Amino acid sequence: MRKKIGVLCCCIFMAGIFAQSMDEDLKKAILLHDSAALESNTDKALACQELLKPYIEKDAVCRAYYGSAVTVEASFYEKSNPIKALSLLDKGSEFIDSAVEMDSDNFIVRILRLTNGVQVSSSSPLKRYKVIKNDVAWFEKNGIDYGKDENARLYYNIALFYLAVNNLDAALYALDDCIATKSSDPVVKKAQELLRRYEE
Amino acid sequence: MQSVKVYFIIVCIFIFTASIYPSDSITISKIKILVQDSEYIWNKDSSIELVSGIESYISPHTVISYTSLKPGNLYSLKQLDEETARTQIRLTNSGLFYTASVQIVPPRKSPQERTIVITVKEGFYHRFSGGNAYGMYGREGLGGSRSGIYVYAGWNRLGVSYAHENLFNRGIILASSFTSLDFFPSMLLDDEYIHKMQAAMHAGKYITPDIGVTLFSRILFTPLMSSFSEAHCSLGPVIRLNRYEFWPFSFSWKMETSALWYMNQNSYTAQTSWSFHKNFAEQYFSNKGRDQKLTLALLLSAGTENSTAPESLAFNLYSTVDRSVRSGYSEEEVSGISYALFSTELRFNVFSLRIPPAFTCVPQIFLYTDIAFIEQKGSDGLYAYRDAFGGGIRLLLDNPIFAYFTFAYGLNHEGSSRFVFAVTGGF
Repeated sequence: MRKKIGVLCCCIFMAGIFAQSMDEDLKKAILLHDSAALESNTDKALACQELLKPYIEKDAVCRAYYGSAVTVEASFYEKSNPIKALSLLDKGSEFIDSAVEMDSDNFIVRILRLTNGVQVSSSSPLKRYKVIKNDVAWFEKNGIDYGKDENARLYYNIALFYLAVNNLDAALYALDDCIATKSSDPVVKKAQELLRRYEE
Repeated sequence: MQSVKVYFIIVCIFIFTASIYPSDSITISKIKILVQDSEYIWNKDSSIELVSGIESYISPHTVISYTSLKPGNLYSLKQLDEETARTQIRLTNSGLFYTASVQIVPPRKSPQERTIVITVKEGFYHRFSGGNAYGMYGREGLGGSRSGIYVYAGWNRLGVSYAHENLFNRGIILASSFTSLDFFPSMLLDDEYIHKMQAAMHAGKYITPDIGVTLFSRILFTPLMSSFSEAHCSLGPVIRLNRYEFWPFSFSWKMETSALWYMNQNSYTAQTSWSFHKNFAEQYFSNKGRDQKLTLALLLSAGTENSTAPESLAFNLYSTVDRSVRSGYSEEEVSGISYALFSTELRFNVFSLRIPPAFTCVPQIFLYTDIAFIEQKGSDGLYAYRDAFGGGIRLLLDNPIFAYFTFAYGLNHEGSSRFVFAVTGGF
């Protein structure tokens, strides 16, 4: 009995360490992911993948960020090797889709798929609109209340989705909602600029 | 009597004016063209101006060459909706863009005016394809315009072709090609193949984004010809039309008509082809989230030539791509000096197949019927009936490959069958 309790405690302790190190690694990976996308830095995209790889079978968020980092890596091959770029986009998108399957009620995973899907669809032959349509429907059903900045980013990407599927009215509402968040995130400026373009 | 006549004329003028300017007519105030992050504005009395961002690779003139919308023009709401939809379809099908959307901005200031926003994302311009024993590489969007170059190389085909479809931003078409067919096979000892060399040129203009009219010229020469005066030199007009309709239901249709004069043979040929495509159950497949498509395709084609034309100019319904009777007739049985062909295909795009590393292939199964009436040389005006009933499979590799392969097997009413392979996505 003591032995069993000992093993159980040991497992809980290990799981705690694993969870702690996963949280820390995820934080680092997200920073790497975002700056890789911003600076077009392939090394950072690869480092992000390296950090997340041990957790992709167990954690949906890690899996989704891993997939997204693969699609970020793809953008570096867009001109030099478009076939490889397309292959990486495909691979990354599959990781993101399976992350949503793992935890379909996780809003972070949904946001990531929506944001990534909009970008991928507008810059490659890979069209993800049918998939991300489900995410937009999910947010419309569950509401958008994740803090100023996250809401602004979400509304902006929903607007981009509606523009792509030719629903201008819904897109303009989403842009208005994005601006109404009064967030300091750069997407609000982008939303204002986009709204100006769709004015008379 | 005189006053009745005057009233009648006034009423006629009123009706005519009312039909030209319907009560819901509106004007396009401006067109905004968004290419990547660049924004261009096209106003009524000015040329296209860049208002924000840097010059995009694809020129805005390339984008507007796919639309007949123009600032200052009057449209009814229905006409505007339809032309907006047509523009989007043309831009999407051009293969130059990853995404294309055309939107009418809801009016806020002036209810009788509309602003149009055309948004495109530059696409992938390399093309790869191939056929039976040859490969092809192409590059579209040269210099940001509607121009492309294609190079063919392989066992039975060598060649190069270049086309510009919007020269000087005025819709002028200039296309030329040089092709060498069966050069290597003709070196074999069995004399089965004849080397043919062909140079062709189209020069003309798009009258509307849907209709292109060109003057076509071609020289076909084979080393078997004892002198150049035996070469087939043909010249004549070609009209091409590719249009989307929304009434009485949505469908697309294509037409190509040509009339060619063969100078050395003192002969002429005239030929026309009309094809119609209608998709069914689109909403059903969309609701189910499936990449499936059910299409009915019809083709009506006819051709004639003067009775003294040499046999080498005869219409060939045996191996002409998208215009053949696909059953077990011999080549002689389906060749003639005039013909009428009616083909139907019921096509079903089954699913999207991923091919590593990252290509998408759509297998399409289809059932077909070909019915032809052919007048053979010396038949004294009698037309022979030819038919084919069968099915097949197509492999459609779209962007970025743009390669289409068709395998078909069909029988005629006499029970003779034939297997047909062609590098085509169908008529």
